[in-house]
Amino acid sequence: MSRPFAIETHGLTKKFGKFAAVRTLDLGVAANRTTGFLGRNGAGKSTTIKMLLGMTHPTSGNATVLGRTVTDERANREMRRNIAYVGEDKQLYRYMTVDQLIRFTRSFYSDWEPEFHQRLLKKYQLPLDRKVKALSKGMRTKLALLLALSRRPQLLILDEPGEGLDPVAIEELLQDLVAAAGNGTTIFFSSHQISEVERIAEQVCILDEGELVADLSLEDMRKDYRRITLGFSDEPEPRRFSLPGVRNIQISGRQVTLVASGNSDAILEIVRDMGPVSVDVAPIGLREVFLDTVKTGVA
Amino acid sequence: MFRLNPSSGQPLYLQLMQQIRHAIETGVLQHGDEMPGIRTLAKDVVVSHNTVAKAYSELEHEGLLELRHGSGAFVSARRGARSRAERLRLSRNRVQKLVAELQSEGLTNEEIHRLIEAELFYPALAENNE
Amino acid sequence: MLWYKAWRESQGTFLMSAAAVSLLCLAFALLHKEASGGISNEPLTYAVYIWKIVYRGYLREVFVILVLLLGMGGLMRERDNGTAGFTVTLPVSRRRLVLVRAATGLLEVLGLAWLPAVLIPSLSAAAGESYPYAQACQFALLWAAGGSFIFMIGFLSSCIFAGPYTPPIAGFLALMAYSLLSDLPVAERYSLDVHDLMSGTGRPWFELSTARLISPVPWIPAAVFVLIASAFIGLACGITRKQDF
Repeated sequence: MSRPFAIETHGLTKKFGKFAAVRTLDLGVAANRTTGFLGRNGAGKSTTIKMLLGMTHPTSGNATVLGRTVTDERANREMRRNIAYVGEDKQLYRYMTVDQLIRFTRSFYSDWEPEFHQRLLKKYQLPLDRKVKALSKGMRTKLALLLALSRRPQLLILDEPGEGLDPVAIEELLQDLVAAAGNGTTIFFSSHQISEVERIAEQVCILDEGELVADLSLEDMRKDYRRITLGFSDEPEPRRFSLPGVRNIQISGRQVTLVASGNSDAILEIVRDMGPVSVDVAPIGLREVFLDTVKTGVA
Repeated sequence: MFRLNPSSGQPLYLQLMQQIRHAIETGVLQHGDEMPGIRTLAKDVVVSHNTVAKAYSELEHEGLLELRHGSGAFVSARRGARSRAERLRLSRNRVQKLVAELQSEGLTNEEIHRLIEAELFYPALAENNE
Repeated sequence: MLWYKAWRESQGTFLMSAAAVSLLCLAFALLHKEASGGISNEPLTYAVYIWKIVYRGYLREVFVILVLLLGMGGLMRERDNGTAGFTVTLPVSRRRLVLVRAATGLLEVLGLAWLPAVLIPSLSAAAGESYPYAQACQFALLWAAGGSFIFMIGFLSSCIFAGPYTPPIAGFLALMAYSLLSDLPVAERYSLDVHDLMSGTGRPWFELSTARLISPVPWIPAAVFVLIASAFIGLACGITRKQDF
């Protein structure tokens, strides 16, 4: 598909001293889609997002968001007018009341939607005259979400939006994200809740130790990814399983487990000729793909 | 009304299509009924609106839905629907019998599921492995 | 609404400072008989007393400390308490964030510098003495100029250092270093001592015997300090632009 990209990075790198938090990242996030951003703690997700938003300066490489170069201050600022962001720090100005904070934030954006904001205020039950410092973590997160979702931005970037929310609130959040996507907003969100991502994301990018290790469409994953478990009567040679489409090979004694990202039919043909005593084919969920990908790397 | 399973190995839009098709064939959704709007359904089921759009579009291709620009999506059940519902009902009985048989032979539900799935996805392989 | 935010964030410090300055002015004016005996064995005229305790001594030192503390805050503090991400991603330039905070602080410095000019003459009259408004206003201008310089030392320090203690301590150390350097003969020649500026000392504009400012008033040294403060603002903008949050 040739959609324009909402976010594009080329060789984006961020080093803190000798430590590379993000290494030569080549990321592409399509517009008008919902993309999930997965990775272990410390994989570099937040650092990447901060570079996109101009919070952190890249060490090398470049990136564009909504067509604008992130390292150009003015361009980045223009771009931020059309972006709503909820960071991993869900802290807001403690001395302001909910109402003051809303009016403060609203003054910076021309795409504010009073209808959305009223509806969300009611749904989240945020008391207008309560100071932020008196809000619980969950309510603060909801307030941060309200500030982002009361607008009609072109791009919504969320860093762990479900953190600190109870399951009901998470469900509401997913509904609101789906609604925003339906209004044409591109969504890019990082999350540890794989089940959240699996439900509403169409594309998933997996980051591990600063590098992009997977970039897959969830529908394709559901259609093409298969776990093939084979049993042999003799210990098999690992080399024989490095076939096109095989992403991961695990051998434990006489059992071989393959993760195939496509080509399952052809793989099964070849494998059949090796004379396995048992063959099992099962679909794979995003959680398994993630765990396999970050634990052992791409085959 | 619809429940999708994101980790079942089947694309979500296909699952949605199957469930809508099933509802039409069993008469839960009838000819002329209006389907929820794409955005509404996406929000209710909590799934990407692109998924719903694709499902609707494919069903329109199959002739089961009529997408009237501006007014929404309407069910367009063909005349064979009732008899299909009948056929499904009879088939369900047969499946019940088979499952009961396999269970009495000591197979777990998981194993039965895998066998059936293998048969559906890779019929050639299932044959060769017997 | 950045001005609103800058005001809210400095409001506490400013109001406490204003209260402190006001209370001291009140005390110095109303209790001049007792205080006067405390600072000198010889009898002092009221004007000299006021000069010694307000413009050269006690109140000026308190003013310096308060103004340095007014410079605290900003994005480094926001980074410590977690709101930097929110502020920096607003669609405003970092330069604007720095400028608004600096301008708000400088207006507050102006307010603090003017307080004695408003209070001392009127409170003196209430205490049965008199102090001319003209003199007080001239000192206020010198304090505004000197205060802006000291404020920017604190402000710069708060842009560079993080944590609750490092910025004010670094600010004080910088100020102390500056004070030592400005006591060198080289600096004396060019009247680069901000403390002297604020106390008005220096020929030919100060008459020691009557503790009065006479013309020509030291506009040039005052302007130099204001220029340096402005340069510091530019420096702060540059530093903040390069930082990672």
